[in-house]
Amino acid sequence: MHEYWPSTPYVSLLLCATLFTAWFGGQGPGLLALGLSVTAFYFLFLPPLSADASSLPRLLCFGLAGLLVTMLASTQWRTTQSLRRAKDELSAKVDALRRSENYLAAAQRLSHTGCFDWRVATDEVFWSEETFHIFEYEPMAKLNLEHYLRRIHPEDLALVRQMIENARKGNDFDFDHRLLLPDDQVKHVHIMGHAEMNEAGELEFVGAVMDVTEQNRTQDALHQAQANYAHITRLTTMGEFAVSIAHEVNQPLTAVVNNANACLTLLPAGGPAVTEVRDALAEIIDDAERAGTVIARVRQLARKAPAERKLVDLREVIVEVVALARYESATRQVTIQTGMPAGLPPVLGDRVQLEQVLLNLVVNGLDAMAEVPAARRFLLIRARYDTQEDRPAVTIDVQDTGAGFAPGQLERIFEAFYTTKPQGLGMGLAISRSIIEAHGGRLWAETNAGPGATFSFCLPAAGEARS
Amino acid sequence: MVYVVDDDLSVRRSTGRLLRCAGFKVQTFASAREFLEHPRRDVPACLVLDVRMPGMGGLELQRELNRLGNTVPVIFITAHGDIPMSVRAMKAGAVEFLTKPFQTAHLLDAIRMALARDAVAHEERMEFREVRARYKQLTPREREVMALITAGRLNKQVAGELATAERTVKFHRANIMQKMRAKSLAELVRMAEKITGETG
Repeated sequence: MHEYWPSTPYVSLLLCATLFTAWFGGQGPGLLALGLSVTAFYFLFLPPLSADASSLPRLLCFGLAGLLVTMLASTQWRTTQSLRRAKDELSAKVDALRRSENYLAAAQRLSHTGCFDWRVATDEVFWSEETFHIFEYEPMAKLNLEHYLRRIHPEDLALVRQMIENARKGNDFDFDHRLLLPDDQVKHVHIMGHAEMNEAGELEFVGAVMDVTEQNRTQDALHQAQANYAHITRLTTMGEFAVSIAHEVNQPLTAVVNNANACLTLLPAGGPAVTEVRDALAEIIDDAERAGTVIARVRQLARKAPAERKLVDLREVIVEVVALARYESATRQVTIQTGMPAGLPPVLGDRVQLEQVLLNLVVNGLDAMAEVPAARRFLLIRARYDTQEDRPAVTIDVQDTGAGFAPGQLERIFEAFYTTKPQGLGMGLAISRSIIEAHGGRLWAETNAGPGATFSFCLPAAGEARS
Repeated sequence: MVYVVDDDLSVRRSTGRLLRCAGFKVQTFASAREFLEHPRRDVPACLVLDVRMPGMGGLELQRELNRLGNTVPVIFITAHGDIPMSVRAMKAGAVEFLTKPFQTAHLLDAIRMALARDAVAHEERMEFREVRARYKQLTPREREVMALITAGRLNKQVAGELATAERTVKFHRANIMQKMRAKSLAELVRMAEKITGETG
């Protein structure tokens, strides 16, 4: 008869092993451990079933206890596992959140835009880092509307209070105002807010505040520059316009005087009728001459538009005009090239007027290339050393690859009111020419050997070459 | 002869008519190019020139004429005059600078003055042409002798320099005086100056 070990302590050991396996390994390993435990229990502690039928209930009891333990432990394992997964996911999300928060902060810093949250009922506000920065506060936890109001420029306070009252009724807001900061610095901000209901059913605004000080300043400077330019352009244009008109009107007046004088010469001495004709002719002459005087006076008046006489570096004029024409040339897909040798002497003149002339030539060049395929639109602006009446001079050529001139056009383009453009006044080249001539220079046009035309103007050099 | 160069048809036509009525011979041109290409007889003349014309302007035409050695007096008329422009024109030898519409009397005065000035110049031109024509009749040897005697050499010195007899020099000298139609040595010297002044 086989001797069996007393089973009780070992049974506990086997169940413990099963428990641990399921606890740390989960259901599968637990069931395997249970199988092994049951087998070990049967072979080590029980008489064979064939010999003793009473083994069966004990075996079943053990098996059931083991199964219970396994189930409990593996449930615990699953819970642990899902907890761990949740924790991993959470930390990944936190990372992502932190990253996007960093992006947001950087974006706010770069765009000078902060955001805020305003609970209307309590006047509590929440600010982002950049908002603190814009309003120049140290970041703090407890904020309310008063903090904001303290920074408003006194002159804008009424406006802001009005906007706030309006917002309390649930209206979105979007407006500009100024801040007056503790160091007396003034900032311009653009502020906007959107009303929503929070979970508690209270009115709440979410919005952004943008520091537009720099932007406003740049825009102001630009507007100022444009206004100045337009003003000067208008002045010179008026003046040059008068000069061109004077030229056009003086021609027929000259012919009137000449013809009347010729008639006087031809008229034979005779009776009272001839004397009348003579008087009439003399009056025609007087009146035409008076008209000439009026025109001369208008011209003198127009000339009084202040024309500066300063040393001008034509290379700077080119750079300036190319910058002014950049938008136009980009829109019309024209490549502008410049050639500016070092050491060109300066010229004496009015920089704005000269820029006006060059800009006019450049725009004409761009217009001339409208019908040319984009790949062949080139505008070359070149400054070069030259001589005029054997004295040193500087010439600027503006060469396009456009349509060039139709026969007979070249002779007429400088005439006032002659134009080839549907919207043209026909004054651009006439005015440009009178400006250049007033500078003691010459403006002319030539047909290129290749496609297009070249407009050039030559101005006497003033002083020595500068590098 | 008065040449009128103006691109404006009514100014050109009326100026021409006015001047013809005042008794001048007139030719009109619509451009500087047309004027330059037109053959002109050498008579006392002046040029009434518009400053601003398409293509070659009046000031450029004046410069071009100076370059060609043509000394025809120029009267500028312009519908668009300023002081620097007129200064430049006057410096380059213009007689007058008138602004349109000009007073007829001013133009006529300027033309009379210019024609008078050119009459003198024309006289000189004709004289020079005459002298040069006579000079061309001289033999190469006579020209050599003339150069030396007008430089102040005595017959004997000339004979020495040319390695010939003094008598031969005297003979050449008589021929030269006759061919050049010079009444005195002084006159011959003046003629020589004209020729060398022009060619040298």
